[in-house]
Amino acid sequence: MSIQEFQEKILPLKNKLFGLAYSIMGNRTEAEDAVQEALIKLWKMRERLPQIENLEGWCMRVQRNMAIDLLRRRPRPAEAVEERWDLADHAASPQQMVETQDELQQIEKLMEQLPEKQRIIIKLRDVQGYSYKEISQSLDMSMSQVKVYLHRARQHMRKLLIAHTKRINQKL
Amino acid sequence: MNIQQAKKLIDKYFEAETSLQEEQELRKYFAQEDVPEELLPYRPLFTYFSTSAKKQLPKGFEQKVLNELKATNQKQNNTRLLNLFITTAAAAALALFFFLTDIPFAERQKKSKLANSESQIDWEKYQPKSEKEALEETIEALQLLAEKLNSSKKKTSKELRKVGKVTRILEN
Repeated sequence: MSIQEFQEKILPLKNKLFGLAYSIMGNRTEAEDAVQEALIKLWKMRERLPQIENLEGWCMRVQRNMAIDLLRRRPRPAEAVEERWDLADHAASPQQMVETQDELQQIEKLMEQLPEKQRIIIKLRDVQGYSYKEISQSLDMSMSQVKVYLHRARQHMRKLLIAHTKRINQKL
Repeated sequence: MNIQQAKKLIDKYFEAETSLQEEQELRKYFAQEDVPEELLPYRPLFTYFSTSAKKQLPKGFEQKVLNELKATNQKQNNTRLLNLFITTAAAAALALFFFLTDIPFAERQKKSKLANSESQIDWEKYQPKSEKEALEETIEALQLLAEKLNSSKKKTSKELRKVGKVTRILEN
């Protein structure tokens, strides 16, 4: 595969690969490094790529393995960086923007309480918009397993949300 | 969507039975300003999903990766060249060794046979008869040794110059 073919067939998947890496690693900078490493790895195996039937599925598996591998090699968990969200479409006033940023921060913390697989799957589905098939291919799981994990994740999240709302109401 | 439809869809969502399109509808529903108070606790979750989806790779990422791929290409070429150099150098060193020892195979066999018959030689005949004769024999032997050493030195310098040229080509 030439560099031009690589640019046409593999590089357009970069944001999808980033979504997967970010869902697994939970850190934007680390996910960015993981995508770069995965693309270099794919480039090194470029002679094999034309023979692969489901190229996108293959790339996702390479990306998943790379993200997991980098997480394992990480000397210590990455410091929690307070994420900022683009709220241009969601908040009208500066005060509302601050409140929404705070709410989203709380949701991020609730997400962190989910078991790893549930957290990865709910993010792939609800943030990245993956189909069950895409999730099963990317994570090497059956579609029914994906559905079970997603169901548990959403149920878990619902309970966490209700408990969180109760705590806020009690404070008020 | 009225509140009853929204509640029904939310329940369906938490049961993991919604399609991608229905999940998109829910995100849209919670993005509007007038969400019924009863459903407000769910709003941050869906806002979190739609805002997190906007997180993408930074601009210039593709160019950065392309530069890395080109550098990887160069490294792979250099490694191939280095392997070729090492193989050639090893072969040259082996050839140089046999060349410098200056003993062809047949001659070595002959010498080996001679060595076997050495026990039958009467060395007494070759003993120097006087001090002068011993000195002459020694000088003659040393001259022969000096000649051989000079010849080997020239051959070694010539081969080393060749190795130096190859190294310079590789470094450039």
